Amino acid sequence: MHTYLARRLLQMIPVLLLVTMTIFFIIRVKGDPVAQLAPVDLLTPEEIAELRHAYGFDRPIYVQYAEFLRGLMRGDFGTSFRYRTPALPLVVERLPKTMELAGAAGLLAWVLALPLGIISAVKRNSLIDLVATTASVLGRALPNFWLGIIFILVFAVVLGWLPVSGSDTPAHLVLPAATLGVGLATTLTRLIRSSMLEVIRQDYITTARSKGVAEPTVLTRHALRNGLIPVLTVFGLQSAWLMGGVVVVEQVFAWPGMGQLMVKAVLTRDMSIVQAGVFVFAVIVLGVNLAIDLLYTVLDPRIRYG
Amino acid sequence: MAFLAKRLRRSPVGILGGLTLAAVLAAAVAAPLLVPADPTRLHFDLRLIPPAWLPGGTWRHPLGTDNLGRDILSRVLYGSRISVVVGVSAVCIAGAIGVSSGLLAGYYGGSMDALISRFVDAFLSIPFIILALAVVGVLGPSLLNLIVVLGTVGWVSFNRVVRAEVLAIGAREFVLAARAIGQTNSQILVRHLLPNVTPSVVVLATLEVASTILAESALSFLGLGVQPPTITWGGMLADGRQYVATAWWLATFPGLAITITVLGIIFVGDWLRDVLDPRLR
Repeated sequence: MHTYLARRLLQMIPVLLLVTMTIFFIIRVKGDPVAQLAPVDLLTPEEIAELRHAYGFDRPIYVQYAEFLRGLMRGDFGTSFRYRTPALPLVVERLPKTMELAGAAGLLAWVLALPLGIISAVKRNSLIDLVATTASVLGRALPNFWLGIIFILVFAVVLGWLPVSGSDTPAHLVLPAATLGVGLATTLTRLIRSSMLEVIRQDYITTARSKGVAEPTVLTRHALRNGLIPVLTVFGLQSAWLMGGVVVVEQVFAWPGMGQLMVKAVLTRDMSIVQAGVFVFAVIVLGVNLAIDLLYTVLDPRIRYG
Repeated sequence: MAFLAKRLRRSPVGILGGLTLAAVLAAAVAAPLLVPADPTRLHFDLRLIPPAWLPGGTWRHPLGTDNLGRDILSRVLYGSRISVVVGVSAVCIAGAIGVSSGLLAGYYGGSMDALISRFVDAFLSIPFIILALAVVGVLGPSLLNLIVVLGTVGWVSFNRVVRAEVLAIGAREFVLAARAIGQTNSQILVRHLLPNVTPSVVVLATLEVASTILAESALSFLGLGVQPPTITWGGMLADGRQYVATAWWLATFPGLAITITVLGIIFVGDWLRDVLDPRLR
């Protein structure tokens, strides 16, 4: 297990390096990076040259990348022009709020999708199956920011049950988490349904039933444990989608997380915050996928890493 | 084509999707002929008129007007143009990058595959919208930049599908036979492997147009899409967000337009998949 963990962490290094390269080149796609980091139109040519020298942009590109990586090791993504403080702490400060929203959405998605997926697989072509399948088609087409606005309209404006935006009380979490969670739940339901349909046809399920094992036990202990493995894999891939959704939904509900900070930074061209934000999001996605790999061993003892 | 038409008649979902798609395309092409009013003209005396069927509404503005007195139906019709153009063009770019890199990775394997797969892993770990956001932020929001960014960010799924297909068919007899009669690698790639992956690529491309339209409208919603006065559904939603308490129709109709368009494309994509490539189900 420990050697596997070490190997997986080692495998993450080239991926992380490519991610850092992407971030490194983001502010260089358009040529002069100084133009991305400073308000050049307000500066004299001498001041620009000075800045270019101060940031090391006059040095060879590989030296710049090495410097960038060295800064990264220390968590140094440069200074935000807007807030005049280091960029990474600004992003990390917002991390708990973003994880609160993403976590609540992920939890809600599983709570909805598990029973719905299992029931629609077991009771195929029933009313619940029809509802679940229809919802999962709709879920692929609904833009989450629009769903959020509709939720605001219905539950905050018309019914007045929940606050429109902000993040002060637990009630503020309900609508943004539901917006993200419902979208994710439709995908998960579809996956759980098809995976369960596959599994319950297997011989060992028939064996378990013929031994007289109670149906709920057959479904949860025998079928679900195996059925969940492919679902988890896709959920890992979906975690990137979830993080992208968080960025948009934070904007809809004025949720003070990393996404809101990043969108503001992009609009004000505060590129060091953008770079730090992309990095933190990528680390989260890689971390979730690593955690899922480790979960496989819990679900299926035949999968042994070592 | 005749085969497709024959199969289409037997699929209600396919027909529904096809009709929706035809309507959206017609709206995009013929918007100037269809609109009841100039979609960019401001009428401060006609602000926030509700849809025609509500008290205070008028059939001169069937879906009402926005906060600047512009006709919403006209704006929704015009908005289809950006979505269609960005969706289709970006998917062409993504498809070109993804299919060629997938062919190379699947056919050559080894270090070529390992290299390309690391790139895929890196792209998968950065959320699509976030990467697009960052790059658009640097390049500046414009139609061309949006297409290029969504195209270069969206190639990964094409790569995965094509690579898997090539791995599956690469060892089949006809590939061996082609090599035995002395065809070069590039001949095998283009003449034998490419035609075999085309059905899956067509299906995937259709579905990718749907997700690209969703991504484009999300970026426009965040203020990073094509800029006003060009009309985008995402931009209309962002404006309407502020009026959700007083004038619900501002944000409702553009959102409905996105959903219906994407749904139509998904229906067509799912139907194409059933016809062309049952294995993908």
